[in-house]
Amino acid sequence: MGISSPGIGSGLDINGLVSKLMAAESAPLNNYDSKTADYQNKLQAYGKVSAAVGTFQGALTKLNSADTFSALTSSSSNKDLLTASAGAGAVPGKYKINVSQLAQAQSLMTSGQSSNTKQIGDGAKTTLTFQFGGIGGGTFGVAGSALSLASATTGIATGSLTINGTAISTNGTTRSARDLAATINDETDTTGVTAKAGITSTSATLFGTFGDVAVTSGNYALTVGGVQLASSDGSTTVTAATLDTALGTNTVKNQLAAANITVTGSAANGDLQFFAADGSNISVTEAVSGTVTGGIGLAAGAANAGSDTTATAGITLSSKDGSQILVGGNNPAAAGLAAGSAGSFIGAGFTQDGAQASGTVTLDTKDQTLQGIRDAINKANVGVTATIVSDGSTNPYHLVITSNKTGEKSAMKITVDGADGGPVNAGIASLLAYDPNGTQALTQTSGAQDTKLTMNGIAVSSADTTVDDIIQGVSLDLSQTGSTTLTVSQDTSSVKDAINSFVKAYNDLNKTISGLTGYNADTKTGGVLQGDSAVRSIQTQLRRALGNNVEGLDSNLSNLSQIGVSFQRDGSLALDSTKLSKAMSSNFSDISGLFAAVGAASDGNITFDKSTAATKPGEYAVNITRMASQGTLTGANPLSGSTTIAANTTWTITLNQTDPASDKKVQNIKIPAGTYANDQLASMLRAAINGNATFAGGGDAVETSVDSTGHLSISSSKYGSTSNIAIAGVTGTAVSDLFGGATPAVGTDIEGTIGNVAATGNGQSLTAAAGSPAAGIQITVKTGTTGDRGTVTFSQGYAYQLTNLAASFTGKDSVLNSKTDGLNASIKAVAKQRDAFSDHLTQLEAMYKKQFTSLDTMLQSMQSTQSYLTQQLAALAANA
Amino acid sequence: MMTNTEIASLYEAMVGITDQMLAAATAADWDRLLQLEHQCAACVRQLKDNGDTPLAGQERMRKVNAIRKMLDSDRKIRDLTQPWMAKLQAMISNKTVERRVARAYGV
Repeated sequence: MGISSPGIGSGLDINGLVSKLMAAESAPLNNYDSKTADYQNKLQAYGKVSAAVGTFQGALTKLNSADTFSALTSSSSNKDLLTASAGAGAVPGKYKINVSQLAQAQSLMTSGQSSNTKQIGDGAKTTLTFQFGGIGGGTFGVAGSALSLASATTGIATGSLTINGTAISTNGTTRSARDLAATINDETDTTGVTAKAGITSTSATLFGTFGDVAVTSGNYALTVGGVQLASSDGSTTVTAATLDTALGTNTVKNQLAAANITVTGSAANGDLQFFAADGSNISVTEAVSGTVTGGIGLAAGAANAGSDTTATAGITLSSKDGSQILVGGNNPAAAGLAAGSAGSFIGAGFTQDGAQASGTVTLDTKDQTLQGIRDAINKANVGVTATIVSDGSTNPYHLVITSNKTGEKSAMKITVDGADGGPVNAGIASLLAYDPNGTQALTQTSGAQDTKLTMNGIAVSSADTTVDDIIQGVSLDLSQTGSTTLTVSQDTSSVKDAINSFVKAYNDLNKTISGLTGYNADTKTGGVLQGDSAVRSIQTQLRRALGNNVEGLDSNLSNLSQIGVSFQRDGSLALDSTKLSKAMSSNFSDISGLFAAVGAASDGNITFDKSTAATKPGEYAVNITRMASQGTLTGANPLSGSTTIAANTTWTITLNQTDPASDKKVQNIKIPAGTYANDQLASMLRAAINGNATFAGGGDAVETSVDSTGHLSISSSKYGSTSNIAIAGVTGTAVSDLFGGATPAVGTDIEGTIGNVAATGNGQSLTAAAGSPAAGIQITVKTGTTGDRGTVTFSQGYAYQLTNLAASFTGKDSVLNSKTDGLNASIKAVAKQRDAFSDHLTQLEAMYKKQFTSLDTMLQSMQSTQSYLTQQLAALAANA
Repeated sequence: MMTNTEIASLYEAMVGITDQMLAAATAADWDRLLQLEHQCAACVRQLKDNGDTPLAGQERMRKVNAIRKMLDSDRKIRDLTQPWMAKLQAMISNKTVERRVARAYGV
């Protein structure tokens, strides 16, 4: 260390040093402290502004969503019966709803098996094909046999018959199918079963022989159903010919008609038959007295002692919901019925629903037990669920297959085939083949049915228990049958709440900013951010945005004061709720445009999809130069009306192939064999292709149709340049048998302009190009023609504008952000200075410590010098 | 072995050093003081190594005077040095500064 005038170390003046040291106690550190505190106060203040802006943004969320304004409240007078939710497009009103039937899914049950794990049949690899559709015509139930003569004579005794556990009030007067059906139908509400009497018909051979009637003495009279057709007292001869003549007279005709009896054939031809369509008994009586020859079943001259035959009909029971019918009682045979549980489709047809994909389950030998079949079906995920139930009987195990979809169009048809063209396992076929129009190896325990209801008297049905849009925009969830009243009303309270919280959030933000940037004359203090122009500008920009009218609105409302929201003298907003209520009752539908961003197309076939932050409010013309199309293969020749698909037919379908090509777009599809009418063929092809799991997983599907001239076409469901289809035959029926030499067409994207600027087409959606005011508007044009297609309007309500504005205050690169960053940097810098100062103090201290130690050592040395000198002095004195 | 004259001269040289030490202490030039004291201590070591040689006459007078002067200066130097050391000690052990720093910055 150099030495200089009074001082130590690096030439520091001692007194200066001391005073500096003392100063270090206060000045610099106080400085650092107060600087940092100041920065932190500011930082906190910006944080408060930021948080207030955030809260304000939160309050805008509801108003920024068009859903808030379309919200309706719905209340059902019977919540056990239905709950409802109202969405966009719903209209307030009162709706009377009467639910008569709830949708259910079809369930089919196999016959009982002794074991779950026993091999079924011969093990041949077998496929199950599930198709879905509606069952039309016919009934589901039991056909009884014609009533016995005893029943026709003495009636069906009380207690003879019960249906589904309910006693049917038969008695001595229940003598015909007609009577029996009426008696059974008295209990329909309880039993769920209706009865229909069959048509009574006399035997076809009753009049096979009709010898001329000769009356030697006495009388002969022939009556059918109480109508006398012929009589003779001997003066006339009754022959087949006179009988036919009598049947031709108006008198007899009218009498028979009055008795509901119809006639076919003629006595002369021997095929005369009488029918009663209502199932009444028909008695054919020959009343004879004296000596008579000839007549029914007798040759001419053969003695006739009189005859009496009664023709009866049986009844057909049908189950309302497609469940099994339990017939009981102490003598159901008297009603032509057998005791026990029964029910199947009688005279019904199956119509495949092309909209529902078919599915195939392959059963390898190892899968051919009840459990194996269950697992294979469930694993294949073909739209049905299999379970095993046990009923505790001798052969307790039943496989139950239930369609995953409810509704009358989701009934199943199960076809059992040999796999890969091989032989079928007959054991599996006899267990699982099910065709409502043919073999029904399984028993239906629950029928496929729709929900049926009336809404204000209008009959409606739905495949599901959730019924959407029978009241526009309202979704109903039904849980039982019965009646209820649904009230749908506008949800004004949530809109009011949203506007209220918007006003409050704005005022809070305004107050926060004013408090921080202003000067309080009373307390004579300025806010932490007094005069901060950046924060002040937030206030200014918000006020300006709220003061402007909303542009591009075709509406009665374009500014806030019209709904009672206005600025007060102190810069806060106030809400006049009377004015708001009035605006709501008169212009409720216009309020949404005032707050949210709204886009709409004037053409009903164009939907407005979305806009971007770059989109400017305005009205933009839409012109379409080319509509989007689908990749399609259309047959070259019309179909004949009956097309046969050979057994073991497989086609390779290439659907929506991409570039580069993907294996997932190429699938081999098994085409179910059979002979199909045109519409059936279209439905079958669609369901077969859409049943492919890989296509379904990739969102690839087809549509099929047959035009008026019989040309079949298959299209990809997609639109645009990525939509394509190709079909190639592998085995069985050739593709050309259906399509001739046709080649497929590739789909095209939509082309057109929005706001007179070329827009980008992608499938059916068109997006306005960047750089135009309409930029970012996306519309979807599903139908219609090319040319001018009206306009799309886009407006930005206050909430939308303010949300974007607020985001610019607090987001990345915002003023508040850069301020905050600056402050954080300053705080860091101060901390750095403080560290430097602190180091300096440490160095000083070290220097003093060293000096102290040296001086201390020096004093010890001086002490020993002094002792030595003192001792020397003492020695000298002693010597003196 | 030093001669008597050399011994007396050494004592007188020490007086010179001690006087300079007093001047340094008075001027609060502590570094200089330390330097001079080292010289002084070296002289004492030399004297001690030489052993006790009784002096007489002139030399004895010179030694007595020198020792008296030196003891006198020694006391004065101490009177000047000790308050400074007390001050130093106070500053070194004063941790207030650090405590305040810690409080303000949480370090």
